Parts: sequence; C-alpha cells; structure tokens
Amino acid sequence: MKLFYKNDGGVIQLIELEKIKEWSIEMPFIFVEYIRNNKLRSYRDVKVEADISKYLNEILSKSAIPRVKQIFEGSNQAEILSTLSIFEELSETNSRAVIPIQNLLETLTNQTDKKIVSQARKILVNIKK
Amino acid sequence: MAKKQLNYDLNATKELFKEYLTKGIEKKQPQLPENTVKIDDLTRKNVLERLYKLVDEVISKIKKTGRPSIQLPSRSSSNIIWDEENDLLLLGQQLQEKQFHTLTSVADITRLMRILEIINELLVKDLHATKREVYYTDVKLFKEQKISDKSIEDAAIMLYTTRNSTHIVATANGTCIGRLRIRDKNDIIDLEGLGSGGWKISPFLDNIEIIESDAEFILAIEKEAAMMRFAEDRFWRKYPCILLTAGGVGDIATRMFLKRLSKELNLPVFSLVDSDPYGHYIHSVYLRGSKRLSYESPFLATPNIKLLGVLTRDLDTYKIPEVARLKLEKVDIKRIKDLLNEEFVKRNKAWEEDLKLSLKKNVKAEIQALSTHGFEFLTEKYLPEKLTTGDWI
Repeated sequence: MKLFYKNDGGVIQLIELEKIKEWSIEMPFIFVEYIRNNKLRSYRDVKVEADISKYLNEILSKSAIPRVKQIFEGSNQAEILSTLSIFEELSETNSRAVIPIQNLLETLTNQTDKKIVSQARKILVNIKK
Repeated sequence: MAKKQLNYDLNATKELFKEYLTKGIEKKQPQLPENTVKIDDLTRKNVLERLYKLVDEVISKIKKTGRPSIQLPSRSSSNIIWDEENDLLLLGQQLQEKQFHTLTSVADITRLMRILEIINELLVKDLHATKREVYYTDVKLFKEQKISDKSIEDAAIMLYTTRNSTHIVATANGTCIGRLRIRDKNDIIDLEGLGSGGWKISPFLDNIEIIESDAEFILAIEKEAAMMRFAEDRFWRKYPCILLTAGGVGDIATRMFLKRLSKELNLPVFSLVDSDPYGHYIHSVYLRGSKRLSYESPFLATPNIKLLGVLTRDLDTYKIPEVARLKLEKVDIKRIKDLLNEEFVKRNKAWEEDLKLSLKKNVKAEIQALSTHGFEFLTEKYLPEKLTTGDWI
C-alpha cells in the first residue's frame, strides 16, 4: 500500500499503482473519481490532500490514460468500439469518472468510422449533462 | 447532569502500528520447517496445470501397472506439527495411499475423482461453488455433506493448494465494518457506509481487493451482540479501526480476510472474546489456525493477533460484580487444562497465567458482563483504556 502521513499522526493507505495496472481498463477511473470526490476532504489535512491528489493524477497520467490512448490511437477498430462501449456504460452512471479521457474522445470524433464517432459523441454528451 | 467524556489517545496501539509500519508485519512468506508440507495459494491456471499433471500420472500408472493409486498427505492428528518458530499448526509429511482397485478405497477415490472433475469445471468456467452446492451435484455418490467436504479437503491437499484456489468455498458467516474501502470486481464498497449491519464477508475473496483505509487497528470480536454495540456507537468514527466478527470460531473466509487486512495494511489486530476457555480457543484459531485445516494455516493464521480481553484479571481490575461472573463447568475446566497443555500456550507466560487464574478463581464471564457498568462502558472506557495502556496478551 502507498502511505500518506497526516499531521495528527493518522495514516492513509491507498492501493499501489502496480496493482492498479492489473485492473480492467475502466476501474482506475472509477477509483480516482471515488477517492477524489468521496474521501479526499474527509482526511482533513491539506498536505495529505495535495499529496493524494498528486498520486491520483499520477495513476491517470502514468497508467490509466495511456492504456486508453494506446487503444484509441491503434488500428484495431473492434477494440476501440468495445472500449468505447465500456466507457459509454460508465458515463451513464458516473460521468465524472470519464472526464479524464475527454480529450481522447474529442479526437475520436474526427475519425472516419461512423460507429466510433457516434459512440464517442454519446459519451461526450453524457459528460456534459 | 452531563456525563463526563473520557479521552483516550490509544498511545500503545499507535506505537505498535508505527512499529509494524516500520518493520512490516510479514514481509516475506514464512520459511516452513522441512518436515512439513508446503501448500501454495495458486492462480486458476496453475491449479489446472497441477490437476492435469496429477491425472496424467494416474493414466500413466494405469497403462504401466493396471493398478493405479494416488498419494496425498495424511490429515490425521499424528501428522499435525506445531511450528514453534512461525507459531503455526502445519501438516507433516506422512503420506496416505488411495488405491483404485481395492474395495476399501474405491468409493473414496471415486468421490475424490468426482471432486477433481468439479474443480476442473469451476476453474475452466471461472466460477465458484459452495461446499453445499458441490454436495448436491451428486447426492447419491456423496451420501452426506460431511463426506463431500472431506473429499474437497483431500482434493485440495492432493493438489498441494488452498481450498479457495480450487474455487470451492465455504459459506461465510463473518461481517466487517469500519474504516475500510474495498473493491469487488468493479464495485467500490465503503465499509463505513453500510449502516449498522456492515459488510458480509464474501467467500469469493479472490474478487476482493483492499483499496483504501485510514484505520489504525483491527478488532476481531467473538460475538454479534458485542459487534452490534460497537456498530451502534459508531466506534470506528472516534477510534479509527476495522471491526470484524465471525459470530464464534472464525470461518475460513473471515480468517483469510483478517489475515489479508493485517498483512496488507500492517495493522495491529486484537481479539475481544468472552473470558472463558471457548473464547480463548477462538483467539487461538485466529492466531495459529485450526487442527482440521492445519495445511492452510500459513494462509489463514494471523500470528500477530493480541488477546485484548476479556481477560480473567480484567474481572477484578474492572470490578465486575459477582452476579455477572459465572462458575466454570466441568467442560470448561477440561478445555482450560487442554489449552494449558498446548505448547503455544506454555510458551506465552501471560496467557498461561490468565488461564491458571481462571482455574484458581473458578470463574468465567461473558463480554456482556461489562454492561453491568452501563451499556457504553465497553466502548467508552474498557476498550479505549486497554488500547491506550497496552494491556493485552
């Protein structure tokens, strides 16, 4: 576990990035959104909040987003579509979790494949709701 | 008149937590003695590999001799060894042979092969089944569930793996509540937000992952009734902790989950049990495993668990009145004497003394005896005080 020490002596333990890398493609986004919106403020320690926020950004930038980017920028249309349908489903119940891939989705809307464009747009609409 | 609120800093517990965080509770897998059987917690793929290898060996024996047999470690009490260094009950290397062609073992081995077939199906399909479900797959063959249960345990030991690795699980009885967030596949479960009932520990622990916690200790509680008191008081809000109960002796899932919490979060673990030999036995099962499942002890035991209470000496310290104390029955006296004969008790002088004190004073008491000082005494005075002073065994 990754440890964050509070000023009052408390300790916050979060799962390590290495384990997160083994998760399904959407799970890191669900996790980051959950900690950011449900837990971060409850720690009541400005420095710990900043450190954890930095760690969550690291999860996104070093693992979660590059995994999605690799698929979206690849040539396997079927894989792009199945990944999009996973994120479409997620965006219907938890649109905030999908915001980190908003730029990648916008890029996809410039593709020539109509199915891909349509699905990417649906997710973007859900994000903006 | 306003009630005086006592404040405890849980200093001794925090110090223990710091020590565990610095040194780590169990950084490495314990080195088991050479004369014991090594059991592995395996992935689906690895269990299937072992299973196919075993079946290939049987086929090969049939071709060569026409009289196949299989060997598996004996689970008789004479083959259970106490590993003093790691403080675990383990299985020795005595083997038993089951032959396909003798009348005495043919039924046994047929059941065993049927279990292997079921394990194969579960692993290939990535499904789990309870022991009860397995029994109902072939009632005629198994006759009674205790027979299929025995075959399931034999099959696991024959594959030198844990029973959970075979995807056959026992129904779990435990519940857990407190400062913990877990992942069950794609669902995040907040164990602080499930009301007073808490989270029912899943027998499918391979689907569960610890993702966040700000707890500083774990309390394993013997009884549901005591757990309810903690839940109603939202004990974990004032004292950051994780509470867990199996409502008696810890079942496999509860013990495995407790071990995982302790190992991954490096948290001190305490047991709160009745001040009687059965309570001490419950603590001992969390501590070093049960004899029946000795082969799985390294995956189920929590060797660092401390016996917080209720200790016999607490009855005087906390002035538990005579009316709330009970006399030992014959069966209690026998159990205490049995425990006093166990090597792991003899080695722990404080534990030995407390058991002897119980015998000398001819006394036992339930956790609820503390309620004679008020319903909140347990959560507001007794536990915080002991966790602050380090009064545990």
